[in-house]
Amino acid sequence: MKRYLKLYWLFSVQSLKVVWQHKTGVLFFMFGKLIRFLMFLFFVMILVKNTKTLVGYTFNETLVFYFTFNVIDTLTQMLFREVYRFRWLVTSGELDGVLVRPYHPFIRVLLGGLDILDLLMLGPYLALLTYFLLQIGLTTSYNLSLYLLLVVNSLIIATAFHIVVLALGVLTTEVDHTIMIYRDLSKLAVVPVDIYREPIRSLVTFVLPIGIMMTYPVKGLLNMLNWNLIIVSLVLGLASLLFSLWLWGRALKKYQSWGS
Amino acid sequence: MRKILAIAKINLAQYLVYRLSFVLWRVRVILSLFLTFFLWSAVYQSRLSIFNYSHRQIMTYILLIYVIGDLVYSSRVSDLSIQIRNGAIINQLLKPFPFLHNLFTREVTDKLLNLFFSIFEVGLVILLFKPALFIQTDILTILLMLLAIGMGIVISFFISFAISLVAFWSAEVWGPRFVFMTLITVLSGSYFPLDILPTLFYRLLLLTPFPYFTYLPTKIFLDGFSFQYLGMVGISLVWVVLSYFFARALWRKGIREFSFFGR
Repeated sequence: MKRYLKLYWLFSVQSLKVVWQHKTGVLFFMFGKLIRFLMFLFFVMILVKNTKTLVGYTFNETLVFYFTFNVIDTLTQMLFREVYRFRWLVTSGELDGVLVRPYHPFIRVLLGGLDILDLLMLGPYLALLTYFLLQIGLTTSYNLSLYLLLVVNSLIIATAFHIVVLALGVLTTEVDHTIMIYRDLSKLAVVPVDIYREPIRSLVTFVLPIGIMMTYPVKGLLNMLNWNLIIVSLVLGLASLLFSLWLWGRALKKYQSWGS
Repeated sequence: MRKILAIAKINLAQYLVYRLSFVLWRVRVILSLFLTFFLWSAVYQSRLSIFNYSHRQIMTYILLIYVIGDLVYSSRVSDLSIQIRNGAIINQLLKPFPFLHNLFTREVTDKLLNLFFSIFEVGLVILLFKPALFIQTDILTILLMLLAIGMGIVISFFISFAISLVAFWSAEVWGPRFVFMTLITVLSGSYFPLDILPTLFYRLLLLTPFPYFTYLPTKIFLDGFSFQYLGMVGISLVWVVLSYFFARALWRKGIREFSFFGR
């Protein structure tokens, strides 16, 4: 474990150095992200201020959904940024070099590119989330524990999604669109998935399952989930992780190396 | 004309080679429509009107701005920055066909293809969810809307073209392009009609090129012909001229200073 932590640290420092080579780009990128975040926040605020509620959720509750989405989304991007560069590893044949190394390939291809820019964005998101969590006044230890448990479950599902993208990358070399479709799909849950009509709501909750990822933690916090739904979501989280690991194993068995 | 058609055919053939990429791209685009469509539908569940827009008007707005957005923003001009950085632009410049004509033909093919798919997708949404829609029948209004769409396409092209030309001097084109795309997403009315913003902010926004890409044509369609909108089309004409001269100056300067080894 200590060895892996040291490796992770080394990869992260390396990633930071690479980002630092593009200072102007970093500024543009941060500015763009900030604008996008603020404008959508403004849109949600102006909408819910005028309508009083959004599908039954108050202004503060809607913002807790929004910031929970942002925290989970930013955390996954921060941790798994290397996945976005995976296609090149496959098509150039460099993946061979990763697979023969004496450590698990995930430390390189999944976690090897900590995104410092997302780390910087995470601070304000967490602060705003905490503020609005306090505003809704449901912060008992039970609610908070359930919320955190479901957020961890979301991160497990997000990890599974990224491993599936890696596996598909090995099998088909298609990474760029797959990862962006994941991003676009998850964006559907920037507001509670209750806005969608059936059967789309069930589809985005249980099949894809971005509703469990982004909406369920806050529903748990608001005492809106019974134990059956909580258990289903935890089982789905575990099952998606096991499936992704199985797919990754299958992909490696079929891998025939490219380019080198 | 034969050359133009040949380039258009080559462009289409390229799309057919990368069919999966194109289909996945369309999936991504339609997902963004789903969010705004259902969000606004949810808002109107318990009320008839909000921000002076009826349910019918806002549904028309969301679907129409989606189609117009596809027509205005779909573009291959971002490839130009890659061609400049890797020197491939030299091959294009040496061909016996003006480079900018080639670029224009590729743009038209790309827009027509995307327009076809976006009309199909919106048709599917209408068929599946049956939203109440507003139909505009006034010919003058439709003509003004088409004029505004044309202006939006031209402004968007020249700004995007100018951003690609940054590649003549810097490798970091992705930064300005990311900001431009973000600003387009949030300031051109894709999520909401811009006139729901506070008045001062809305008026300031009208001085920028963003409202003229998709918001103005959609708004003209909804509200009908008026001299206020004619004036706004006038402002978009100013942006057409400004963006044209800016892009032309950058192109001339860039192409004069450009050099490349190894191809």
